[in-house]
Amino acid sequence: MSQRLARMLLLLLAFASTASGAFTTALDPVIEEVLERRAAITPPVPAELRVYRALGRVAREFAAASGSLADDLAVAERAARRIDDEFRRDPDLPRLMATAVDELLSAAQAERTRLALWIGRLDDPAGEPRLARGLDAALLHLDRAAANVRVASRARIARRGCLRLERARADLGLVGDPPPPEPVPPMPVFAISDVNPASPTSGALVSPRDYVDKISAWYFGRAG
Amino acid sequence: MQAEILAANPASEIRILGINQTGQEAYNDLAVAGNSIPWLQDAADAAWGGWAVTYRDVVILDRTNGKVSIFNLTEHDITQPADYAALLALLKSAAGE
Repeated sequence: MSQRLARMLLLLLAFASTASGAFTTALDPVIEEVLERRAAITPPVPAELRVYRALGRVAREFAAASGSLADDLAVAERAARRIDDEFRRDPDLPRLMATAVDELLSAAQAERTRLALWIGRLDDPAGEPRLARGLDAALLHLDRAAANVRVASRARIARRGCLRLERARADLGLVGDPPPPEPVPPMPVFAISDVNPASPTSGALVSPRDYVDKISAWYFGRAG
Repeated sequence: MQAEILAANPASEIRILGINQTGQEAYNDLAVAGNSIPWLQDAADAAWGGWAVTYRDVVILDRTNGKVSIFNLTEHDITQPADYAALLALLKSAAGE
């Protein structure tokens, strides 16, 4: 077996075991980069030993088990700190890490949007203020995270937002998205004369069914 | 309001109509003066009774004739900018415009 093939096999094995820890795929590109670099210098010569070990420490951060978006953000925070410590001047790793955290932040913002679909749809109206508070608190954290220039801090603050969303879901027992609204039955039909000479339907019998596929507003007044 | 909606968006699918209560036929000329929206004369309370409305209700229907909401012009005076804007927003929201 060639040395290159052996390295690729090592990479695949390591990537499979490390990537399985994450809840989303946002961290995959940076995990892949770390493992590829480490495989490329396996076994390391003495001059490569420091980098080899540093890559190993970053890879171990990614190997932590994750069962949620908040967990992924915790992993991302630790890995970002490690990359900042060990590879600050690296041309690729900090950029890849920042992209991964931004993707996780976007996922958190999307989760907040999904949770907001429950507004006005709770079985118990008393839960509405708690839902609103959870959404507001999460928004505060997510906005602060988006404005933070430090990648690790961005992940840490976004995680707080995620935890607020998770807590709101758990407190209110909300799973997934709200059911689609029940279809509203059509209003009773009638057909009465249009008596306005200036109207496009002047003189015709007009029915609500003439306005299917439109939004119609029916004013009930007294001409007198 | 209809003119304003169509001026802002000629492709708008919002349509406004009025229905005069049975017994008020003698005053239709007053109601239609200067207006080009359909003004329907109810007969035997077919519309008013069938929809169980209150005087000055604006009943907003969706694209399948399902009731979206009711906006009463006695409760909400649309000569006031806030109430006018609220009704316009309801219509646009229903139409997704």
